[in-house]
Amino acid sequence: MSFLMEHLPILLVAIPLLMAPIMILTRSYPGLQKVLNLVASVGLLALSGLLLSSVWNGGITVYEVGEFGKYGIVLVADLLSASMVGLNCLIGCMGLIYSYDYIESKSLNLTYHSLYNLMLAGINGIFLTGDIFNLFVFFEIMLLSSGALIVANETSSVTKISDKMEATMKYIVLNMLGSNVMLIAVASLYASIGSLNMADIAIKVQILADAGTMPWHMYAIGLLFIIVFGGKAAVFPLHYWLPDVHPTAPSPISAMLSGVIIKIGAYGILRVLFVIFAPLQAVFGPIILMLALITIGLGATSAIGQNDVKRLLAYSSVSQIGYVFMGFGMGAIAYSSGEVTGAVLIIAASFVYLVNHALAKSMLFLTSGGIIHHAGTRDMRKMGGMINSDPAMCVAFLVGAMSIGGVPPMGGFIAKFSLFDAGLRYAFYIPIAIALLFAVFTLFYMFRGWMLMFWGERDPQYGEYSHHKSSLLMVGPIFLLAALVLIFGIFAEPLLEISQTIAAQVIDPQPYIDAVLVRVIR
Amino acid sequence: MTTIITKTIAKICLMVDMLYSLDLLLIGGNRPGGGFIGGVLCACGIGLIYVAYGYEDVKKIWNPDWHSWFGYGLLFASITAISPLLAGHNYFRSAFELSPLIVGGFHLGELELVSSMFFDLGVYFVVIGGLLFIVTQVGMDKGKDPEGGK
Repeated sequence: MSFLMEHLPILLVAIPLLMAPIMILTRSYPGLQKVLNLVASVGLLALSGLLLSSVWNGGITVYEVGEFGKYGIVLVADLLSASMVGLNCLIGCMGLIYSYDYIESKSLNLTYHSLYNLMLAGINGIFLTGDIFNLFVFFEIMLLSSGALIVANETSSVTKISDKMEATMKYIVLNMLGSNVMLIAVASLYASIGSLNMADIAIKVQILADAGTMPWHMYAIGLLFIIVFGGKAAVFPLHYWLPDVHPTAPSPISAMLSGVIIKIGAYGILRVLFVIFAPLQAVFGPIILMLALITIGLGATSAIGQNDVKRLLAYSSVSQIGYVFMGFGMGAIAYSSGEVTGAVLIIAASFVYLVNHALAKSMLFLTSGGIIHHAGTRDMRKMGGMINSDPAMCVAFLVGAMSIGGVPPMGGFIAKFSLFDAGLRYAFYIPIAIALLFAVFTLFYMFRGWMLMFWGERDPQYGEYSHHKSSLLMVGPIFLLAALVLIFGIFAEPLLEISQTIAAQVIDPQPYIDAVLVRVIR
Repeated sequence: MTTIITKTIAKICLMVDMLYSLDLLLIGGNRPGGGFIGGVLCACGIGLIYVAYGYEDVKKIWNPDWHSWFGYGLLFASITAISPLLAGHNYFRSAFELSPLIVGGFHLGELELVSSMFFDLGVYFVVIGGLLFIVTQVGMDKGKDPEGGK
């Protein structure tokens, strides 16, 4: 047990990294592969829970990779990283179970299992690393493996392979450009500060700010980071790739992309702009807030006209990530005007929003996979009356739509309520008014989609629904996530409490810096 | 492309290329080089042979499964990285030893032995396997042979 506790942060990266080659070498034994991968991903989920509880009880854990001494590579598990890792492992595990019946078996055992493990390793690494260059390295691992997963074949495919190729091309090329920008930003940061360790950089930037000798290019580097993480999170004006990529990917991968991978951008903004560039928040806060408000409006208005169920959900993701970033922008403005408790409250609310959106949206994407499986099309106008033929999907979609729309008693209601409440308390009237307006839009487009698919009758010219119902392996994960959405709506206190602590840690990075820099070197 | 000149030069290049790639792999510890760059060079050499002789002809003589080279390489690298955990150290910790190199009674210098060498070896195979897997997949013409087929 002590062995496990000592090496806990690295195991979350090392286990999927070890599983990836094992999955390649066992590709002639599909049954063995499935069992092994399931055991590994359930194990990862358990380990991430253990990490979260150990960080909650015992404070920030720092793990030194390779024992290179003081300036080596560190993994830092604070409460923010540990909870993001938990979210990733949970949605990853559910997505994996779902894909056993959803992904075509040849694609599944040749490449899917190993790439899925590499993707999990990359995402866990992004959340855990304490070194900004390693953040870039893990970004690349995540990007390449998720890019290849987008072309995986489904058992009942309604997406043309040429569309998938186009989507992958867009995803990889645009994110490679993003990585390039990130490399430039990291290199310039290193050139001006002389360190890559995030805690070390934070201290040195603070010293520059206190002395009043902040070089002008630090602002430029901060803006480059906003471009990088904004591009990952699909914030205006870099949102345009998302509605093409997320719908074309197979549903479990869409769930991962919308549930976890766009949250990486949000995590990056929290980590880089609030820890490293803490003294510059007065400049970056209004920029983030502006972009977030445009994103909210653009995503919501585009989602209204969509007839493709997965495109609807993708545009909704664009709009919802805007709410998360709106919280970050308001938090930064509140912090720079001296309202520290206000900033904590707002950041905590946007973290609650992030978690609830991740759960509800990944559940909705998995549900949309089941719906497509049943209806044989992605066009909602060609569906109708599915409440009779597939009631399970109907209930699941309703739960997700209620949560995204912010209807009590779902988690989304708590998220929207606490975000708007915190914003109003610190007099952000205009942003909240805009957000409220588009929250009504959200309610409209989610329920329009639900009614189109499940109410009424199907036009006879589109034929009968297939008798192909979703199997237990597909319904199970959906209902587990739906239960979590409901639980976070009814028993919201634990999540709210954790979010408050996370926000306090983000706003005051001193414990993080102390944990990384003041430690015994083996 | 496949003139006799290309074929002859490709063969000569392959030998030089392999030696240089092994050299880069072995000096990787402290000087520029290592598994990644050595692997890229080796894959370039083999790729040149594929280009000069054509995928179908090379396949008749030597047709390794590059996908599993990738798998074994990654497994090897991953196990090397994990094994320090069993010895009570942290992930990626490398053992280091200088041993005198004595051949026939003559002391030729110090030989630097590091366990991260095995990691580099794993990366070497990952890079070769990965690059050549892509090259062969792209080069494998599943459609009609433009020259009428042999």
